[in-house]
Amino acid sequence: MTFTAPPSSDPSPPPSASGSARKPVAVFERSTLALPALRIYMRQLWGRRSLVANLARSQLKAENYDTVLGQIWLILNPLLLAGVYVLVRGVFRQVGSTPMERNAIIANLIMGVFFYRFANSIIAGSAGSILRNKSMVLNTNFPRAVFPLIGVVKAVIEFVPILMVLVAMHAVLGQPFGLSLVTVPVLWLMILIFSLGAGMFFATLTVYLRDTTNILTFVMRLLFFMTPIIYTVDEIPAGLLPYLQFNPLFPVFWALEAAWDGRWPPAVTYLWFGAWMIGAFLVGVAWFISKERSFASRL
Amino acid sequence: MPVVSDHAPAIEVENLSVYYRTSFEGADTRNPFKLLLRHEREHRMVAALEDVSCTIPSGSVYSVVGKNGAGKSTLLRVLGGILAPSAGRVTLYHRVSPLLATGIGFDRRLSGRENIMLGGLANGLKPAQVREHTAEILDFAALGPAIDSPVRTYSSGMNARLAFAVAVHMEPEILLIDEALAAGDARFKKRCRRKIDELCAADVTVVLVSHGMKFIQAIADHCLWLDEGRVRAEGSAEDVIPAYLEELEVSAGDESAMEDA
Repeated sequence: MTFTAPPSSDPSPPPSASGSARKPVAVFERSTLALPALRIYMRQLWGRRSLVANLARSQLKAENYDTVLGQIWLILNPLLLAGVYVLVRGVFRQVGSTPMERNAIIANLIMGVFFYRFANSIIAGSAGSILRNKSMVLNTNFPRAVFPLIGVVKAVIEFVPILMVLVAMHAVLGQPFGLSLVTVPVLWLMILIFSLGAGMFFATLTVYLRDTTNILTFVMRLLFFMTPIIYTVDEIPAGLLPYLQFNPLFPVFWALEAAWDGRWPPAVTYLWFGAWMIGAFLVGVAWFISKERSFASRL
Repeated sequence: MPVVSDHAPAIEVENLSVYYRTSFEGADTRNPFKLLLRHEREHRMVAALEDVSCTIPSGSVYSVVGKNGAGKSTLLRVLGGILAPSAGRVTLYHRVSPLLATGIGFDRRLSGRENIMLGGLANGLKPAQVREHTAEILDFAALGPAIDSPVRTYSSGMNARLAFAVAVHMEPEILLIDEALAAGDARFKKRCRRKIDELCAADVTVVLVSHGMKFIQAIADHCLWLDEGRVRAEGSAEDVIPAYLEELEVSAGDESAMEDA
């Protein structure tokens, strides 16, 4: 459908549709692959910012209504998960040769688990967002990018208490608070943008191929073990490194490991992940918004 | 009967067709290798709407009738900009409310009050504007203390009341109502009628899909009769509705149409 003007807010008229002297507010025609007018799309999306914030907040609230510990699970869950990985790692391999080294490895592991959860919750959350919100997709016509963005806002809200726990753990484990930590917010933002792009890509794919969500779960699990989280970059056998490099998240967690340890991340990690981030974002967003007009007919 | 203020169209539908592509397994579903390959499945195009043209005058109550599967809801979704036409064109001369009245229930775990906010925001209102309307909506829906309970605990009638109350208070120019009233009780329907009359007096166009024929007879001034995706008749409600009812009676005891009126 050439979506000439959105019906709700934008009165930019299409070329005269009928003999009538009055200007049409919107004309709907057969859908094409073309992108909608981006300026109008962004303005419409911006107009729904309160909706995104409200839905994110209320969904978070509703998800933890029924549990005894409620919102505490937001922190407890990743902490327990990190605990399990420390345990698993301890069984298979000595965790560092000195207490100092051990603490550094544990600190890196906890940080890695938390950051990976952040990425995963955006990617997986966005990927399923169109199907999960089926009734809204079928009964409303605001920009569909609202749905993946809800997942991003949720992940960001969830990350705030997690960040506080991370800083506390960092201190408890006696890790350095070096200047290199200033790169962490940048890396975090890069993860967010990459994950949103990847999530929107998979959200579109899911509408056409429902199997995507099932496959994605395993891909994300596999990529976790291909990321320097339960091991450090130094510990990777030389023969394995070429394979791990296929993982888009590998370079950014390499950079995070260095920053967390008080070292400046190598420049190559930024460039490498930066390329993934830009690629994923452009492809994901463009595909999503060029296809979104046909989502309703596929549900 | 609401006054038709002028004959300028609010919506023009020209040769609209909507096709769905449905896929399902072909004849031989026992062979797992064939099942794995999607192209082994049959694809069939189903026409939900075919070559539908109509003009909806502004300020009118325009009803769409037809049996199940006639394409009524599909038409409404195209008018709302939710579904894309496969062919043809729809021209809107007024702002359409981007929210179908059935589709509140944004999050059934949340309270009715919270869902009012979400519904308003989805409609493009600002939080302050929604709060302005909240009192009226609460008053109209008349849910009492249940408004603060999760929507999942509501009966279908309560659901319908809330959905309709939200939709009519969103300052719509064109209001699309899909079956929302079927579940309401008699008193609520009376209130709906009054509200719809009031909206039409203010030149709001109401497009209504409902199986409640008595309700439609009482309120509609124009009617479109769809039959398997095609226009069977279009015109004034006095002409089209009796013809439709007659056909219903002829087609062996389809009394459900009158039931929930």
